[in-house]
Amino acid sequence: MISLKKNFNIAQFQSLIALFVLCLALALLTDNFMSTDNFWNVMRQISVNVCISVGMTLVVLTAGIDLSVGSILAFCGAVTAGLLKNGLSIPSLNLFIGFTVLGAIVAGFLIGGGLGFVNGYAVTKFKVPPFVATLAMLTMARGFTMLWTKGHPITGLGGSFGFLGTGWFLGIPMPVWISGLVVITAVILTSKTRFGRYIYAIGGNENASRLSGIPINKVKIWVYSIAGLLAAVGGVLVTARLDSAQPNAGISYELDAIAAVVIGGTSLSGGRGTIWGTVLGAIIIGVLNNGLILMNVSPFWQQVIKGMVILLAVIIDKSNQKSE
Amino acid sequence: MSTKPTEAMNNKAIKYGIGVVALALVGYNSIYIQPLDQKLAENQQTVFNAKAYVDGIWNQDLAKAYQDCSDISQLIDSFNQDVNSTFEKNSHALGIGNIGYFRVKGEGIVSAVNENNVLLQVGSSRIEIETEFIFGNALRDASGLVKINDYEDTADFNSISEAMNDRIRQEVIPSFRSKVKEGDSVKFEGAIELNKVHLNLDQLEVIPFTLQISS
Repeated sequence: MISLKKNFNIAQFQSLIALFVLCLALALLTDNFMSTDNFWNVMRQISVNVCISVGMTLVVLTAGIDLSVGSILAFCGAVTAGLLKNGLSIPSLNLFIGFTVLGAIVAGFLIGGGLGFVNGYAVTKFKVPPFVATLAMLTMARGFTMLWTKGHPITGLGGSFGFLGTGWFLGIPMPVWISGLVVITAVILTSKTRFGRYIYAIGGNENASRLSGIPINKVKIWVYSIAGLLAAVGGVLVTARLDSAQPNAGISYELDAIAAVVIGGTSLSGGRGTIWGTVLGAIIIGVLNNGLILMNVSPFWQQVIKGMVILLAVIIDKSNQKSE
Repeated sequence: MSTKPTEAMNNKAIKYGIGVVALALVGYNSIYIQPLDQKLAENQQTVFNAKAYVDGIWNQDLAKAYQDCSDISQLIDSFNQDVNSTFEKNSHALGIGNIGYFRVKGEGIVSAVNENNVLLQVGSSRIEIETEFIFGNALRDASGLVKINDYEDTADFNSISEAMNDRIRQEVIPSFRSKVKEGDSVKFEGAIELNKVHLNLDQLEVIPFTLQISS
């Protein structure tokens, strides 16, 4: 009995049980929830949140936070769209640099990673609290987006780019493939590499990690850079799906990402949590959003309910920590 | 003993070599460079000219479409009998949703000339002919001639509405506004936008395509 108790910790399965109960309730309460179309619709919708939540998980595991992912998503989406549509003109050299789909995406990713690097650099070298450093980046990246787009959407990006957001491959939507690839890479990174073990160690006890010789600053800078890169992936997906880069894209996406991380069981004080938990958290939020819409619940009440679910998740997490 | 460092160096060289080749391949497939003046000249040839397109269809296809439209009084009667079937038979729309666009024509007596519109009494109905705020996609979508799927760039598609509205503002409205007065009889063809769920038939707002005064 003791060994059974040791091996079966219900806290590990809380998110899964919550998802199962939620799906069961929505299947009973709505007509369309269990349809195949709705399933893929939900999966497509959560793909973007999964990408940025995975990045957020890495940051939270180091006991940090990244509030800038929504704005970075918007800026990288806009940069990708702008380069793809208009290229770069240098009149003084009578030069036009055109970007292919690959080139525009790579540029968007580089910008995302670069902005994440700035976050990491501010946090580690200047000891700016992560909340403040990324809050500053939130407003800066939104400002860059407005400057780049001049406040107007960039539309008409072409079918091959749009395929990334709306296409299907082997019966599965492309955004699901891409977010799946992100998840698998992150799972390998966190569970099978030295870098992953460093992330957990830093979040668990930063001082002990420093004394053990872990290059804390380097790891943290990498973590924030990856979070920025994954926000850029989300930006490309959103832009491809809408065939348009919107200057106000990604507003409050960081909150959904933090919610997914917390619901997925990652501790906000760092060192504890998994990528799979975050994926479950993102699915729970996506299913909850979808179910509330299918049940014609007012958008105002949807906000209240989502907030309550997040609060409940944190309370359960705290009580689990105490019992451990 | 002495071979180990050499092996490590070789491995490193191979790794860096692969990295450089990969970067070069990505770079080569990412960008292309050409003279700016050449690019601008190409753009001028390929940019969709909405005004030219609208000019091309104005007197033929569009005029024909707006001649073949519902009498507004009959349309109102039809709505009073069955909203859904009237929408199904007479409206055009971009996709799913409750908004439908209708081509309408009619003749009425001017009851008021306002700053932004002219009010007509058409039978027992009051109709508002817009003369100031000529915006939106009613003219384009009611025509049923322009399909969104024909345009890769939605901005091109939207620019057709802008060009149509511009032409109405420049060619139809000024001469009408300068002559119209209360008591005139006015014939009109135009487009209206209606919401199936929130249908309001009081004082329908018409974006005019043609306006003709017969005192």
